[in-house]
Amino acid sequence: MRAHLRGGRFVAGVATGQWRLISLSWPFAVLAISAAERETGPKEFAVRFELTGYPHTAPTGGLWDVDANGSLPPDRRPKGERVAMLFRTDSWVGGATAMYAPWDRIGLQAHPEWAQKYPLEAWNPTRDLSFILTQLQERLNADDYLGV
Amino acid sequence: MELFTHGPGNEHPDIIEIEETALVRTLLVEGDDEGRVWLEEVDEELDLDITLQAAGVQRHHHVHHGRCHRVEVIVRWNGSHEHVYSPSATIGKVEKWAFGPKVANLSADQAAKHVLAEPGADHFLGVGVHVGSLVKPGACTVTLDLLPRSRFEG
Repeated sequence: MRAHLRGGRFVAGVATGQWRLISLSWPFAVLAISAAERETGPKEFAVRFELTGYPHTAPTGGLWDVDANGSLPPDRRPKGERVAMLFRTDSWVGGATAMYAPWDRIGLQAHPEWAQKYPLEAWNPTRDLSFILTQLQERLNADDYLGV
Repeated sequence: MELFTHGPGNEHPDIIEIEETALVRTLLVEGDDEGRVWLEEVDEELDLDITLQAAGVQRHHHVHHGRCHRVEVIVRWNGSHEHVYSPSATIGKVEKWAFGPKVANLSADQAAKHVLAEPGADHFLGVGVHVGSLVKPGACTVTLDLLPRSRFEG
């Protein structure tokens, strides 16, 4: 994990303001991902990852309120067709701690078929955390991101 | 200063520490007499025999090294569409062309739901990847598929 954080892909993202490491206390890492400017949106969202078994096992992670040291309340989560799908606010089993995506451990456990159905996005051990950060950063900076 | 270096065979940059007074040719792979160096998104090659400082290379710049002077990018979307780029052109730049009126003519909303990928790859290409990083040995052509992003559904 620390080797990934020193790698060119991760450091380049930090240098261009796409993301930054807030804290790392194994097996948890909190990272902030920048978001496009919206009237009702913050400059960045924090995600708390749980990394047991990384990288052989997929990480899982949910939006995090750094100040309160807890999950980000539903009314402060990002809106927009694609990003809201990741951070669901309904009764999905992943709730506030996981992403509804094939790169997330809980997402994959809930939908084992996703590994074959979405091979371009599914987690595999050759990926690293920057892969997920890239997915999140893209969605938080796309035209269909609407703020909170 | 820290620089990000890109080259054929690796989509992601390496990070290096180098003096501003080093020659541009220092960025080439050792023994590569045919190599050239470009700044990201710049068409013109850098002079190999001037310093990084003189060439305008600054901390955290992205530079590309390789042998292809130009890269032909073929995008497959309702047929094949070709465009020639500098090796240091990013996928973000290619997307603007491929999503635009000359190829797919996607609306902004549609464009957000599409992406480029190499045929048979296990991932989409990030916007910061250099097209010159995707060339195979002995070739200066890259083929990409324009694909819809997945909607994750159970």
